[in-house]
Amino acid sequence: MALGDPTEPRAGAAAEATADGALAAGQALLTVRDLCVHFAGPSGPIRAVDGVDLDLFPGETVALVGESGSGKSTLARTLVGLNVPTRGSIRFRGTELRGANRAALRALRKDVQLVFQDPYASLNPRLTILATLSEALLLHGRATPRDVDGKVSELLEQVGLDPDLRFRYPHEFSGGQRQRISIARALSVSPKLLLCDEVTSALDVSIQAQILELLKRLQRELGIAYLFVTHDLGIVRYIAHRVAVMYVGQIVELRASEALFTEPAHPYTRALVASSPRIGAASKGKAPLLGGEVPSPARPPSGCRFHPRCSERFDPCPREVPELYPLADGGRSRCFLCREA
Amino acid sequence: MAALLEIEDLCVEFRGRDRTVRAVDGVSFSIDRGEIVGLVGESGSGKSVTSLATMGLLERPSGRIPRGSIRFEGREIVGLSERELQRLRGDRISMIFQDPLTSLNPYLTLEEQLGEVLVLHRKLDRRAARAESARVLAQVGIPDAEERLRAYPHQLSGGMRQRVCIAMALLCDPALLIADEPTTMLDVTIQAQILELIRSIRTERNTSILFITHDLGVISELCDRVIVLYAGRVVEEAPTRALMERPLHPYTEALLESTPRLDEPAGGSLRPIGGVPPRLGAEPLRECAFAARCRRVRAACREGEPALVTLDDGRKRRCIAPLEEMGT
Repeated sequence: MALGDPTEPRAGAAAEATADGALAAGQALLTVRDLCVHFAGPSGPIRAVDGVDLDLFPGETVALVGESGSGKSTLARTLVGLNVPTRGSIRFRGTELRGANRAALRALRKDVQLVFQDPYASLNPRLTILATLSEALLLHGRATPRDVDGKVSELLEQVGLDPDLRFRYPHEFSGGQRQRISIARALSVSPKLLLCDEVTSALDVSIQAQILELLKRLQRELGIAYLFVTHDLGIVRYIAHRVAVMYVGQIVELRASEALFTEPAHPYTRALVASSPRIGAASKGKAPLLGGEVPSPARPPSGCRFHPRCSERFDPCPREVPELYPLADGGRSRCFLCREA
Repeated sequence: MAALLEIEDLCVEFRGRDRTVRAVDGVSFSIDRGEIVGLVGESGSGKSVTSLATMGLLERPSGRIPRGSIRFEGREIVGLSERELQRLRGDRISMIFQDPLTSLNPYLTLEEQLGEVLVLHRKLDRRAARAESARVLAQVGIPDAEERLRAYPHQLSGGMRQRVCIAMALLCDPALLIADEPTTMLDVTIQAQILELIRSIRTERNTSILFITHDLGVISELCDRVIVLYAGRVVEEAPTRALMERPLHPYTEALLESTPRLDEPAGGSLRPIGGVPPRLGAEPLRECAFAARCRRVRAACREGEPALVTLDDGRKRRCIAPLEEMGT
């Protein structure tokens, strides 16, 4: 498994994709460098995303976790062009997205698709499923009016729905079925990367499990990469290969999933893992593991942004700004305690 | 001593334009003083409707209780007048909801909303109400409580708002607190703080708590006993740890198997529950409500709905599959 190292030459040289669009081995699909997304606020900029470096490789699942205000959704939305970055670079298969022209963006949009939390809001209630799915297929030239009906049926089968349902409208489906339809629509243009923003948060656990299993199967069959935004660490452990933990606009830990759960390096990650409710826990009566609240990205704390809540803070924390220090296992942690490690 | 709350054979129906739905059908359970009981189930399982019925908050005239009894402190609640219910609510029984922003009045300062309860139920004057409000706000962990009394709900964070709702629910020192998914909208670190607060309320005040959630992890962390609802029915009831370690109903088992676990290494697979819950009408079911989705289903399950049976150890379950088969 490749761990993204922002300073490694390999990722920087990933610029050139070969003529047929295939990536050389080890080349990143998506390369994000020093990405900042600042919004205008009443008292200065709100630094929703503030200096993010991230690589995503073909066929892998990276989970983006964090609490409200961590910037995880803003980051995901920026990667698909729904927010405009203030600074930094987003390269997809070597092509810079910032400042790219419309034609280039349209071609890229085909490769990066987004699935939202609420399938009710993201499907047009006045179109049949056939019409919704045909639209994307025809627009991107994936089907002709002659064969579009068959292509839609194939897509529905791929996501585990009966093709006979294609003449129905969104309101005739359950939440889980609607999420399958959203996934089918995203798959219609054969993307290389699927951004999943809290895709199962609105679903019951039994239905959530169906969707998670579906996504895993699709990754096996199609080799799609996922960037999975979620607040549920149980889901992260189940689906992700690597995890980026965000806190107040920055990545504070970037680890292989197993390492993150067995030996979290950053004190915030440790608190996050410890705060998550566990089935069969014998931890009744434990004290709250983390006091205080997530600070506003409009007024991030000085030094390490986590220092006001951190039980392990020491001299440099309020004064110096920590970097993402490399760990022995290839992961990274933005904590002075990991500086020497 | 009798239990604080005793619900027996509770049925709740909603009449719609073209059909009647029996959302809760024959639910029975009780809560002792100082006990935290979890009510768990998925959408449409009847968990919120059960709690609304207990608070006398069913929407009328569409919602009604055709059968059953809810006894609180030995007194029957079903059939009480709105006036009598109002005297009970906010005083002896109070409730906190999922979204603290919608349960607080955006036009009132904290002093006004909290004071209202004390003036209404405890006949305090404004000054005494103010002092008491500040005291309870401080108790639920709101810093600078005196100062905060002047704040409006939108000036507080989500976690602080939920603390305010909890403070409001505790003002009259209720015997029963009903909490309907109170941490679902909160971040995990804030959720951990609120769960800790709820635990301390029980310890310090001996308040009984009915905790409604879809999250088995939260149940594990908090509750003494769990009641699992499916399609408006109790399908299993057991002490929390026993239930998590060895579920005795295939639905509970399936629920556990379909939940991604934080403490399980990757590579495992979830076992989703296929299909969807039955469509509930006014007619009684002719088979076990879970039969269509159950992996332990047998012919007898289709012949009628099994009864909720109490086992030797006091656990209850609504299933005819042999006990030896469970957990295999």
